[in-house]
Amino acid sequence: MIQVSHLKKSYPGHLTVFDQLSFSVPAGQTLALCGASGSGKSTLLAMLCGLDIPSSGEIVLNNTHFSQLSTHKKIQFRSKNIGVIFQQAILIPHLSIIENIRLPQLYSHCDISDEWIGQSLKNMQLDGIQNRMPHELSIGQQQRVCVIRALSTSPKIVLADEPTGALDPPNANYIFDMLTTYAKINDAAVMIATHDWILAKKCSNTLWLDKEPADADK
Amino acid sequence: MQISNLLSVVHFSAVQWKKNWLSLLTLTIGFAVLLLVQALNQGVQHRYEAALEGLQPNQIWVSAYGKPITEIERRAISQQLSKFGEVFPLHTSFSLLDNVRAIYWVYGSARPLQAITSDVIPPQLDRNIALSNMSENSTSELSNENRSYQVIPSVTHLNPAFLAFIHAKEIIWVPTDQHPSEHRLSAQHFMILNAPLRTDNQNNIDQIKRALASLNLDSKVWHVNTPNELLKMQQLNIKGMLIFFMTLSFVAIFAGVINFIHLLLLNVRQRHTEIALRIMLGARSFDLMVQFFIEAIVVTYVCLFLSCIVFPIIAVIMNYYGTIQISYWILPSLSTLFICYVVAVICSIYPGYLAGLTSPKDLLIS
Repeated sequence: MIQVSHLKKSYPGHLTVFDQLSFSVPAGQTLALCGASGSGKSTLLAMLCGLDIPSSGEIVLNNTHFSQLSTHKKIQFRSKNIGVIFQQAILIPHLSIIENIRLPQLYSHCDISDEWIGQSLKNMQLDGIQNRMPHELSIGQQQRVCVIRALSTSPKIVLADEPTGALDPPNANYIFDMLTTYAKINDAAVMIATHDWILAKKCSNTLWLDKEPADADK
Repeated sequence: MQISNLLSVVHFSAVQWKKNWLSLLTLTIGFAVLLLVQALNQGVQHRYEAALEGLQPNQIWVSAYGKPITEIERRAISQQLSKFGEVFPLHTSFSLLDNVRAIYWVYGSARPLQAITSDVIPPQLDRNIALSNMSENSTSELSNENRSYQVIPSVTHLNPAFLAFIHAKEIIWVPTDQHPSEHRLSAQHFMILNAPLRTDNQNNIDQIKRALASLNLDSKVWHVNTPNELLKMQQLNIKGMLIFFMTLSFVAIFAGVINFIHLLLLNVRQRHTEIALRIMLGARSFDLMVQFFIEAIVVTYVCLFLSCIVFPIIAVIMNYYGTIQISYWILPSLSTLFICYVVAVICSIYPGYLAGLTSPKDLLIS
């Protein structure tokens, strides 16, 4: 589902973030993307989203040579095939929760049914908050809403950039479980950037962007 | 865009208005003045329409200004003009009745005119008629004398007799012998009705002028006007005022536009995360421009709506001090709506373009 071959990213001034990076995430599996700050996790996710251009190498997403698409095609592909979750719970403050969840529908033109939203909120233990405003929810609840929004278009690829960074352990566990379940049920490839080794172990595979620490297995 | 999203945009725009009411007030004032220009235009238009109803295309109006003319001169003029058609002299005078400035027109054919002396002795009541622009209260007091009056809107104009005459459906005599000492002749008007000549024929006009010149009346200013010329004169009188208010409205709208653009640019900065998120979810630059345009158009039309609400205050002031009666409630014309639309486009195009340049990469880097 996600195939990255010989990927290189370097910036002017001879700063190379990574070189000859190759990995794949098959459908139904999750990949934990680990590494210290500045190791290039966000840069890699940005390239997988089409927001950054690799210096060399190839990215194939859902059998599409993503890195070769034009900007416009990348936007179209991203809106239909990729769900993105950020470290911060980013909700539009003047839209209600249900409007925030429906936001991808504006641009991907897919149908997000009320039943699906209701069921997803129920699964996330967020019953009855459809018409509330984001500021009325806790950070953990907001992040769960963001996860629902990212999954609302049933994307085949989910990219999460430290989604549990601002959450307490129960909420973090919950979201990790949710994403791994989603990958299995929907045959999707999920890639999660995280600092949390314990959570990373819940994923099918782990990719270290810098040297794997000696105590990573503990 | 879904209705719920549209409503949220309206809600957001209302919040913006609430936060930045002082800036957007400028835009509201600009639109209000624009509505005033529209109302003045309509007021003038109504006058023209009334005037055109009262005058036939072949009528000629002859006015004498400069000095009061004597009864002998009046007869001579009437005789000369009768060569060109049936003459209806109109005699204008001003006086005070019940402390209200009133304008009288003693009007009749050439024959009863001979009975009118310089003291304006009222002729037979059933044959002579006049017009007043007095207030309704004054009119009701005068009605006790078993006479009826036609009350018309204020006619403080360069040629009030003309305006009053053409506005009146029925012309009724107002007694002028209440305060004879206050009478003073100010102008004499002769209207040649049903003249067997074409008013657009300059030769005919020249003939009338020559006929009047042969009388050696020593009047400094003689006007020979066709109805259309008189209407144009009215138009010229108001043109300056219209230009002034038009300029004022454009200055206010321009200031409002600058403020509004500034406000939206600030919005682009404040809403960086939202914009980046929308781009991440698949929004193109065009989508963002449309979004900013919708927000701008909502705010702009809210300003226009508010200007419609405050307009009666302006109308009251204008009707009190101005010479043209304007209506208290006015619906924006198509041109005003179009100006609003253009304002929204101008205000949103650059902020929308800037929003499209936002990089969502920051969301990941953060």
